[in-house]
Amino acid sequence: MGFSDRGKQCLLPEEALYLMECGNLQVLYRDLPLSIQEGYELFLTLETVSLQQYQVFSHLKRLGYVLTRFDRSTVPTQYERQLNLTHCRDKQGKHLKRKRSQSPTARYPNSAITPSTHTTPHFHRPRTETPSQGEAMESSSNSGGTPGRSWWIREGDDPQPTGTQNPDPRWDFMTISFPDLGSRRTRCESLASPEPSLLPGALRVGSCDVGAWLGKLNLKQERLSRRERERQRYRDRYKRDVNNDPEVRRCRNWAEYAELLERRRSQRRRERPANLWEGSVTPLTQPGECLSHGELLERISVVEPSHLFDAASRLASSDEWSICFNVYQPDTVAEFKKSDPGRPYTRLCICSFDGPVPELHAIKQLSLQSGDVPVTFAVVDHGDVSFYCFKDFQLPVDVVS
Amino acid sequence: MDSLSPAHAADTSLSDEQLPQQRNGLRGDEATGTDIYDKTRPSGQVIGISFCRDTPLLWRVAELKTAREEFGVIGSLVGSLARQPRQNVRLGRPLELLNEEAQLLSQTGKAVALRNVESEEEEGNSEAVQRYQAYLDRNYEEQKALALEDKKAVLQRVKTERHNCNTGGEDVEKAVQKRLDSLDKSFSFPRSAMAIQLCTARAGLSHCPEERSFLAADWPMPQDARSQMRFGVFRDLRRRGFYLSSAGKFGGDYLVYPGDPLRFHAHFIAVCVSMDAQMQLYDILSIARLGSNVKKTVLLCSPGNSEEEEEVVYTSLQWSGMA
Repeated sequence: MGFSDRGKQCLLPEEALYLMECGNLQVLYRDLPLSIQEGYELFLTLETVSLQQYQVFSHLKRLGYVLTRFDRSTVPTQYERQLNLTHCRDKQGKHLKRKRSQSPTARYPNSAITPSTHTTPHFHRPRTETPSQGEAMESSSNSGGTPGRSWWIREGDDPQPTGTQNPDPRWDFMTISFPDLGSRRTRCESLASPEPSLLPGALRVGSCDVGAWLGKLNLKQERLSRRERERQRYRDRYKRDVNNDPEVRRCRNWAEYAELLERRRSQRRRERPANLWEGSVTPLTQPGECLSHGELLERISVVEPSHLFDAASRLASSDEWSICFNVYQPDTVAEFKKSDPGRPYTRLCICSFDGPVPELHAIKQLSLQSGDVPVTFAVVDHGDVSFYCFKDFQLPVDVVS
Repeated sequence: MDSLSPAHAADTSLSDEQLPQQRNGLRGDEATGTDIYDKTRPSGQVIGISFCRDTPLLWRVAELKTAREEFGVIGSLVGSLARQPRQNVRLGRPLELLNEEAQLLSQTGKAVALRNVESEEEEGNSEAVQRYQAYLDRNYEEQKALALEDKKAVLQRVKTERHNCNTGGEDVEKAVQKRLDSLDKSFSFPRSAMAIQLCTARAGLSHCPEERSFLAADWPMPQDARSQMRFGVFRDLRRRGFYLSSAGKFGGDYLVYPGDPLRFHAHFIAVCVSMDAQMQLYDILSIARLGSNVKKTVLLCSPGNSEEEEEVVYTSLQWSGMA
């Protein structure tokens, strides 16, 4: 409990009141001790926590749970979670470690960054990334002024040879024969000089003797293991390589290939009755496309199942519902650290039986806010607290895929 | 840090007895209630209802008693129990009232709403601080004397045990005797070891009737049609001798007990419905199903429409049992 601010140890109102109720704390106000009644009246105000929030707080606290106030900025965003960034917990201006030192230099160990670095606050994270990633970020922020350089470029990379970008259209590789030196059948000791039309400019290349070099070449026949042979057989039998298709091989460029595909498609269309396949309503699946019942069912399901997180990030935020507390389980109390609290067991949103039930909108939003931690709704009914939570439910599918 | 005694007390004249807590719901030990109240209760006491924002709270044991015994107002205890703070089975003051309960109390004329006093003047405060310091000093002296006696008693006991054992512990016995003799001079009782009292209810004001009237505030609760209807039902059921508590967990407005909830299970779940309100069949079915599940009868309670006639119509919902 508690936090420290400018070298002083402070308690939040609900914490102070709870300790008072436990008989562990005496609060002096204008040199006089506060009674618990006064504590209720002074600490539970509009600006702090409501009586209901306090009732939930003290209810769980009495059971041994650890509760901290929920701070939205400590939850990693969905983007950060996707990148698997370890989240920066100790931000500037808020350090959780208990320190009595009053000296301003020692207060924020994190702010000891020289102002000359041009890292934007967005990039200011603890150095936990891999070095290359860090470098990439540095270089990107450094090269912000030069427009020609791409975002991901690295100094060590050799640039792409630009000469090969535009190959000569005259070169037809079907007609150019390359010498097959490994072949046993054509044991040639020397290579003939290449055709002069293929060579640039005034370059002259004579015939080449490769006899000495052939001796170093591994000319043993490739031997496949049984497993590899089986795999090869399977491949030959069931997998069709698009390159083995003679019609495809006959294509000389992409345009011809596209033409071929179009031709085939129209042919296929001719095989299918138009009343089924060419109306405004067409079958959801093609013949031969699905291999199992499960796949077929999935293909023809018109209404997609939706999850709690879906589209939640696009919803407009409202202030009507908010998460109040992080809850950590009692058995973690021994190793619980405020500076590194870890993942909460759950997060609490507090409401009352008199109030409305949260809409789906609010539930989605709160669960998005909370990230990967479930949100529990604590409903207070005149001192009686009950906990409810909304969960995604996956309908069972009977067909085994 | 001072070691604090967990004794909450409104003031010394009141017994610090905690009312056993009755939570909503079904509990096995409900029928074991014994009469914990003494019959010589102070009568004519005016109950002061204090408000924490909008929630009515009772703070004094005597007022809790009066409310429960004279007016059948149960409420629910929500504070930590002073002597056993880390559990939720039995709780302590304050007693949270339903809005209807507070309203009922105020209609009897035996209760007033108290407004929260902010602060007195500075001079009054300094005087109070002096009084408090003097009280602390006095208390310290008393505790010091008691601690000394305690220690003496311990040493005495050790001495007599040694004496009885008779196992050659002559020199030990002498050492103990020596310590006992010098105890008066050497004994020190640090101020930080003193036990202090934390008050549950506010001390000072709001005890005597004149100050009560000074503090009395306007009734802070807003009144809409729904709360009026709820109050109508509450008052009628209470007049018929039933005890009520809130029934959020059962999906109704009130749990209705035939007697004190310490002795009885609830028999009914009261749902307040306006006379001309349209109800979905779903809702009726679901509460009927719920009522039969928890073996209670669901009552649809509708106050009569006419203003002067305070009649409430009760309709019960039960499975007919016909297949």
